[in-house]
Amino acid sequence: MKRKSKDEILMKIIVHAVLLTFVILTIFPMVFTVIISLTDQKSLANIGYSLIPESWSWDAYKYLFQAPAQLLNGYKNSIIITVGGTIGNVLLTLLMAYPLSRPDFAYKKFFNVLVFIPMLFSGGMVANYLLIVKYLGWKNNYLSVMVPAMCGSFNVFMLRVLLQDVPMSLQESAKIDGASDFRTLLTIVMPLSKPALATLALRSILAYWNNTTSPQLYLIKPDKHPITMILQNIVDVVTEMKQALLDPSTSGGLMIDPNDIPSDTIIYALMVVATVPLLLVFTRLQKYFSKGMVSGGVKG
Amino acid sequence: MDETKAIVKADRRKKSGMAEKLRREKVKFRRNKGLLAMCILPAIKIIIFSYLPMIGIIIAFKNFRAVDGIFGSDWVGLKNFEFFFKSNDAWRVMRNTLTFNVVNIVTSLVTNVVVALLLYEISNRIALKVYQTVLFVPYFFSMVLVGLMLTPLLTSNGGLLTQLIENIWGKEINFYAEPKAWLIILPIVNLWKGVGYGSLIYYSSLMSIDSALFEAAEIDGANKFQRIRHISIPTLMPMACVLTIMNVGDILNSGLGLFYYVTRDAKQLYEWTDVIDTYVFRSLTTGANFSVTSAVTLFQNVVGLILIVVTNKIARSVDKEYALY
Repeated sequence: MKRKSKDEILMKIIVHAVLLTFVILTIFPMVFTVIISLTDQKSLANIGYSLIPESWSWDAYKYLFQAPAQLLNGYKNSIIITVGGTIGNVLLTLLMAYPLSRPDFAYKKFFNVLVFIPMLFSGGMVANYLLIVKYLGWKNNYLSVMVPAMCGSFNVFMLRVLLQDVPMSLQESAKIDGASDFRTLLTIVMPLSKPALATLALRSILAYWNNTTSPQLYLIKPDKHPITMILQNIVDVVTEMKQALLDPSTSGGLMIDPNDIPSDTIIYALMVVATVPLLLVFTRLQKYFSKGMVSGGVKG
Repeated sequence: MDETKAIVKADRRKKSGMAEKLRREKVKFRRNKGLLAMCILPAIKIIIFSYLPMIGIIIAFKNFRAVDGIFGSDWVGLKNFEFFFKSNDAWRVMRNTLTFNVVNIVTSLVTNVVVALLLYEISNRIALKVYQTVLFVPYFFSMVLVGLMLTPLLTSNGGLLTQLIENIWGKEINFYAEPKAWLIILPIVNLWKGVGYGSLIYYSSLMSIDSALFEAAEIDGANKFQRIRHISIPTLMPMACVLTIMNVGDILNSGLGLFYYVTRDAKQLYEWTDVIDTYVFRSLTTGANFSVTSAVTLFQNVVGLILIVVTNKIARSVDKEYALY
């Protein structure tokens, strides 16, 4: 057995050191956000943002949970958009990708072109906006955010490649047994391509959850705002929250001194509460993101 | 007599040929009925949301007024293009779009490959898992959140980085009024958000290398750097080429999130952060001149199309496998 040379050990140390630096730089803004949310408002006012605050305080979270109306409403909207959008997206993408994955589909070429052209050329943001707002009348309708993102060309081609892995012989034998195409898809292809569908669903969930531009264009009413829009308008949201806290009829008769409300740190508490639940879910499922990306390949 | 016979015969053959063709089409249709039925719903969605808006492109050649609608508005020829290209905005957004895209493409390519190579050197599985998981986390964040997280670092109101700079150089700097600073900040944010995801694809190509190759090189006396240079890098080359080519094809679509949400749409920064996408998006949110905006997107689309076709040609000539189509 060869012993490790000094050089190699040194090399290992350098590699770890560099990666650790990257890791610390990555994690730093997140930790800092949490620290600020736990900082006492007065210490923030006194010495500004600091890594080690003079005094810690849970106040921001306490007040946040006393007036959670907007946050809960934001979660509700985000969940509606994400769940509805993802179900529709997976369904439509699958319905398009499956026939394209079948070598015996006679109209394959036509539909391939139909799906491919939008990858090269689009009507652009203005035309999409006019279509949705003027001609479909979908302003303040969740559909405006859900539907346009469905059945994207890239996803169709990615899923098509993955569906080609389902052995054709299995599908043929199903046909011989008298199964319709739809039944074959439902009972043979779908169960065998669960990981591919899971990847598609997860990517879709992430995209819908983080989408800010479409809600900003189409969901104008504040009660339709998803979480990302609440973050985008965070200062207004916190001001409104403060008013709700000060109004005795909504805060349950408690008298609150306006100076007690930590309006700066609440912003950061709101950021944490708006992000952490999803982050916990996604980091657990991280391997699916990478798996799909690798097996799906870059090519459409 | 013989002639007419021949003509009749030929005519009959032609007719039966057509009938035969029609019959074959019918059989083809019947055989594919099930699969065709599946395509209907997605095809309708694609036609409505991808093809119909293409008609809207004519706005670029019209003086669009909401009351008149797309078809009722007056034609103005190329006036909208003229207006945009003669304005100061045109030069600014074109310059920014190209600058940021080139910088982002190059920096993320280098960083992603380097991080992948570094991760490949890690043999401790727990350390590897921790590094990869942490680096991946920003991928899940929305750009809005990233922009908000940046404020306590950069704000002139006691931001951490501002304080640090003040302590070291004794100079007060307000990042939100210093557009040039964002030429560095935005690419860093871009790397911060993308390196976990971006390095992964290279890392998995490295994992596919046969370890016998490295052993053989070691026996032949190749040191670590030689092994990386002659085995790892060549393995990553094709993937790096494809991804870069795809990015170049997308060079005019800079991605709205980074430029709009991370800068918090600060007006003082437009000089160096306004790109085509933010320009168009802002005109939609503020309801500005739709016709000029349409002209800008059409220009963006056409240049994008040309770039895709050209880069794809290049990719094809490198290796057919790596072309987009």
